[in-house]
Amino acid sequence: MLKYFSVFILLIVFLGCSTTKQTTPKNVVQPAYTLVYVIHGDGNYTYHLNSKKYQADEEALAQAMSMGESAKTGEVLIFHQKPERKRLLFFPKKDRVFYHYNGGELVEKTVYSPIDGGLEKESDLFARVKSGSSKRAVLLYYGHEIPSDSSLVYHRSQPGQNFDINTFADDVGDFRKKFDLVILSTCNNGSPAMAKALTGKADLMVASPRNLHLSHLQSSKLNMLEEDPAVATELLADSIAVHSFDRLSGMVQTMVTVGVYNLKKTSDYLDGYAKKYEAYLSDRKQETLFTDNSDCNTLPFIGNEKISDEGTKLYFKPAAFGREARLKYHSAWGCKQID
Amino acid sequence: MKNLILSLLLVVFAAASSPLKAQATDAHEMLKKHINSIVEQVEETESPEKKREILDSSLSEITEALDKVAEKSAVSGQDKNNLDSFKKLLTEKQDELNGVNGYEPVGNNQLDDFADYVQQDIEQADSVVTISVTTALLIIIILLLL
Repeated sequence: MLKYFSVFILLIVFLGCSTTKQTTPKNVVQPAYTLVYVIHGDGNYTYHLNSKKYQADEEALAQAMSMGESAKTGEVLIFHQKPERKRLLFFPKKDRVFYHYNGGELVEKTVYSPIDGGLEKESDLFARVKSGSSKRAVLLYYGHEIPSDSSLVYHRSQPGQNFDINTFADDVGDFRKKFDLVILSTCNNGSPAMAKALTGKADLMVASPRNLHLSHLQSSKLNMLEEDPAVATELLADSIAVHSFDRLSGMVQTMVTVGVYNLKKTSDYLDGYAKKYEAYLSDRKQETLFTDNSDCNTLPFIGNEKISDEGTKLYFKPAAFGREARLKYHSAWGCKQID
Repeated sequence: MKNLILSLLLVVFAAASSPLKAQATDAHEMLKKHINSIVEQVEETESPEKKREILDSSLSEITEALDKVAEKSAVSGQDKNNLDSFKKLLTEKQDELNGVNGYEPVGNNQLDDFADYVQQDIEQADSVVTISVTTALLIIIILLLL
């Protein structure tokens, strides 16, 4: 009887965990471009707009799937990082979901569990579908601010798993040698630390140096890759930033900042500032994950040598209320002001 | 023996199917819902004086609840820091509403927008989520009692 019982337990554990749906596409496309969406859904992402409640990661997922269906000459890989639960208290339930679209068709949907707090499992799946071969690639990350300090809890269902800017940047490098564009739909990651970490791993970055209302960077302008496969990455990045900025400006009362960063140009002058910023942070303890940035150029550690705006373009609208409501200018660089 | 195995199977089924952290986010959601109901009340009210009163008293109530929770010895040091950050954010909003501490008072025709601003600032910074579930539950309970 004990034997049957053991078999039953194993069946529950293993049958319940493995779900892969693969379909053979009608037309397998050698993708002209690859879009990688990483959507962090393990941080309680809800918000209200006009009294209606939204689940931010689900909104981002719908956007990504829509891109997957419209990318007729490209491929779209979506990693939805849902909260990780345990089966029978111990066994990972594989709550994360991977979607692979090729030529506008969903060719695979697989559940998986993370290996660590970073993107190692996601880059493994990326490598398995041999997606690194297309000429152009864009990575989009939707989530809360990626912190400088790995001790701050990022994954709510797995508080022991660390995630920070360096882990993110290292893991981005595991997907492919270089991305044309990295889009960060997160708060406060338009920072010297993030730009430095992604230098050499992406040509351009779109990010917000300040708080960004949840899930609101819009990626639909990536369809420019369908309309004109040779579209310049600078134009693509700028179009995404402008579209997101216009939409956000019309719907929120809080400050809106969306920046475009040419990481090759910013690397010419950023290193010294990034080191100064890291030294400043190392002397201070950030108490909570969600602390809004300030303009780096207003912080004492910068001194009189302000960070250049070369290679950056910031779309900025001050908040309608609050201490910074009358702010006329904001640099593209956001830093933590920690007392 | 059969009964024992049957009981074990039932336990296993329960463990396998129960959402272990199903309640984990409910307290945070309740707090966000509470803030949303304040915004709705403000927007449904005609009189600017009444709108201002709703906002002022609601912000005071939440601040009072945060103070009461922070006094509890069971609340962790980390949570006390998070409560303090949340309280600072709310106090700033109340100062602006009433035009104190260097602020001009929010105009009568701006109160709906201001209510949206308060909600958006809280939700985008996710001040609510940084607080632990137990502490968030305590805040809700105290808000209900006030």
